[in-house]
Amino acid sequence: MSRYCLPALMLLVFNAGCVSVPEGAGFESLRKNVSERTVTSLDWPGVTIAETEAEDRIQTLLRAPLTEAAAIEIAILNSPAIQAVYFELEAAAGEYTDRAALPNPFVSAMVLNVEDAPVTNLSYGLGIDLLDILFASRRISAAGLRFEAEQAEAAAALVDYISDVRVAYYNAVAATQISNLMASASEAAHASADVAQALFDAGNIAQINLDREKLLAAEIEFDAMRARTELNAARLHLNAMTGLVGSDASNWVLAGRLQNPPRQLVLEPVKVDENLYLIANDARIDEAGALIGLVSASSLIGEPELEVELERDHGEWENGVGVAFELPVFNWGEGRRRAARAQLAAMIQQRLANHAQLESEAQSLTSEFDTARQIALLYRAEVLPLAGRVLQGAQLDYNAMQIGTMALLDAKREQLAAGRNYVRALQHYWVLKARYDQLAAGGAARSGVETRSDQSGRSVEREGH
Amino acid sequence: MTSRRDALKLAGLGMGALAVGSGQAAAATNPGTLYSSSVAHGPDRSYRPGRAGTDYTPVETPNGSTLPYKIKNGVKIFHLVAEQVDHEFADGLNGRCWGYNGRVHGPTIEAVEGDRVRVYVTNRLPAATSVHWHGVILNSGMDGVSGLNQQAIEPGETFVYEWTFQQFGTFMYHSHHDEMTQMAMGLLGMIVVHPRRPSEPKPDRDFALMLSTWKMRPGERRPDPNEMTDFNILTINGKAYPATTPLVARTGQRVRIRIGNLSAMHHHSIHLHGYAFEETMTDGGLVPLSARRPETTTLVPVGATRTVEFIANNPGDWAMHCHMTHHVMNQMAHGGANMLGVDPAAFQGRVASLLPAYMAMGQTGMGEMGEHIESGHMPVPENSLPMVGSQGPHGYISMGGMFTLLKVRDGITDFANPGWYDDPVGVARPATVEELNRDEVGILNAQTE
Repeated sequence: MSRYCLPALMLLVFNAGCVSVPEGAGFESLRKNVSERTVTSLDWPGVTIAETEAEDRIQTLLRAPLTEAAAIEIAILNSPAIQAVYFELEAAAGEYTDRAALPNPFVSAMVLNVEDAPVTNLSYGLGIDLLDILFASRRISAAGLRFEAEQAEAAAALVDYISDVRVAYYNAVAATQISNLMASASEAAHASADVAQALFDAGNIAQINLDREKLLAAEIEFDAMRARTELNAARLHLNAMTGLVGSDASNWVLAGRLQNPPRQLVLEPVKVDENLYLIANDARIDEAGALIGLVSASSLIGEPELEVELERDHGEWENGVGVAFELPVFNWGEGRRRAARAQLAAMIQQRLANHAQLESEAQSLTSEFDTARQIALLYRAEVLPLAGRVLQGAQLDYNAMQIGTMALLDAKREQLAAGRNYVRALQHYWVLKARYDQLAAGGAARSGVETRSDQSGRSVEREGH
Repeated sequence: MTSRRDALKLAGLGMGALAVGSGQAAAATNPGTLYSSSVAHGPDRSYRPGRAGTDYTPVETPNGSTLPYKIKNGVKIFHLVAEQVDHEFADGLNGRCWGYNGRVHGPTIEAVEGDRVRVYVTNRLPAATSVHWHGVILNSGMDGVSGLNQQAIEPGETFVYEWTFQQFGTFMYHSHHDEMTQMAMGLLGMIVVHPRRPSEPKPDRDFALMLSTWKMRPGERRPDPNEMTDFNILTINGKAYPATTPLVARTGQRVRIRIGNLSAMHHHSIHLHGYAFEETMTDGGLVPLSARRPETTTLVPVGATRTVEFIANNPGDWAMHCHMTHHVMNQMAHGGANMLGVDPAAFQGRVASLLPAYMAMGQTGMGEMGEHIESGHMPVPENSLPMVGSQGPHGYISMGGMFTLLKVRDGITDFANPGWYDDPVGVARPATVEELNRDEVGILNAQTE
């Protein structure tokens, strides 16, 4: 019988097979996926591009006024957060390889001394977890699904990150423009205070009127200071997103201003079913479904083992095959089966909730995005010209001596306020556009989506083992 | 209707007036009937319609006109049409006003004491209206206060008024329905009634001037009737200087100027340069000779007329204007900072860096403003007339609003604007060093040098 046992065991092992993911293969898949979805080319310094070459490229980009595309490219080459995603994916590939491999058999050897006997007895044993062998293909399939989910989640993380960089860039540009406009408003208020001082010196206004102008100038100066602080915070955030530190973080200048939105809205449709987080959800649900049979089996026949033994007893060799398993006398495993089923159902429900959330988000963003576009266009077409005409009218009124210099400067500040509102309208538009594009590319634009279902997935796996 | 007793009284008054007239002034002497008549009036008295040139020297309304009439059965028939009028206050400033017969203000109604007149009033306004004959003695039913004396004239309706002038003098007509709105929009005009038998010399030149005030901020196109205090367009016969047409007379002529004031809230002290004059009439009647005194300024209250007379014996170009200084400004605003004496060096550059078109002004007053604006380098709102005066023979005349000119020339027969006066006697000029030294004006001498 022993002559059949070893081949049978080998056949089982062969049947189980094994999986190996080459190093970097996960990244290539990620690069392709992200490129297709965001038209952004990924590189991995030290892996797909030499680190010196990446550094040269970053320095080249930093020497020119920083564009949105340049900020994203720098982030891809330089952001530790992005590098971490690459490494996490590599780790996931390693775990996949590990999970897909068969568990090693265990070997036992024993020497038994028989008292006063010339020979010793020997005992060799070889055992393997039978359940791992029997369900090997299912387990490998589950590991593949896990890796598929992790790849999708990595791609989603990058889509989200690229969008966050884009938003950080827009915020920095807007903060720059608003800070400049606030500086002009402050200058106008100080000029008004100068006028008041000259009027006071001439004896034409009272101290209280002068003090009011000075108070106004101080308050507007504070607003300008806050705007500068917000600009600094926006630059620092963009530095953090792009991974820039030291002199690299302080020397860059932004290119241009926020552009006006297009007159015609051409939207890439959001295909919610192709959302990366839903793809990850699906893979994890499939993984849990694949592992649920394992849970059922293990709950009925706990930890079955196939053992082969070779024993020399008093010079005679003997062999034998045996099995061992947990006898379900007191615990029939119903609890584990029930838990696994419920967790799978929860994952399915969470996936449905995510789908609904993404659908809602797509519709909401479409509406908000278009409204923001129209507002920005109206600001450009109507409000700014109106504000300009109001200032021009105030200048004419001043020339006609209908108003004084301070009232004219008030009108200037009103025009600058309209300019700030326009910048905010543009900022709103571009941020929403970035979020919409993020969603269309398969990311999750807002925090309402439960993006990962690691907990439930791992729970099933733990139970399975 | 006038009773026989009233007629006798009127007749008596007429006689009295004649008697008084022959003795200097034709003022009624009966208390309560102080208006002026030169002949007797009553139902048993009628006079043929007065004739221009024969019975009176026609009044001239500078920038205005006289309402034409026709005679039917001895009655002078007038027709006023109240309507919206696009009125030019001066070059560059128009307003959507309300007026009569296409004019702001309405044409002067001219008649002779004793004339029977019938006035048709057609309402082409979007609102109801009525016409009050201000100062005219007539029966209550013709007095024109809507609701009180008559129904309002609704849009599209034509009403008829009729009476006999039993007085002479200078009167006015204006809307008496929603007065605040309708008078602010321009519904007013002058009435001149000549004496049937003048007791005083006829004037050679007889002018009628209506004073009024308006509010239109620069750039606006319709007067604001809601304004109560800050009027910024001050007009004579609906025109603000420099659009006012000068009063022209020949040296030696007797000049009569009738001034009515239907401004909303302001009296006007009208000052004439180069002359002293007598205030001969109010809208109540002749001022007794004993009460007349020489003046150079006459105060014309709101809702009153004043008539002044003088012999034009001092040739030249003479300013005539309201002496309330804000009334000789065009579209002056009163809310701006007082820049007089302010040193702009501390802020000019800073403000101009924000507002390139900015130029500090007003530090020495507003005298040059009009020139700046006329030169075009300081554009002002469309449809506005801020601070504008006009170029005169010796520089810029920094006057506006209620300002006009009396031009007296030797030997002229054409009373069109004769142009600027070239004074043969001499014009003020910079003093020479020799003169300053001669008269030992040391400090000025030093400055000149």
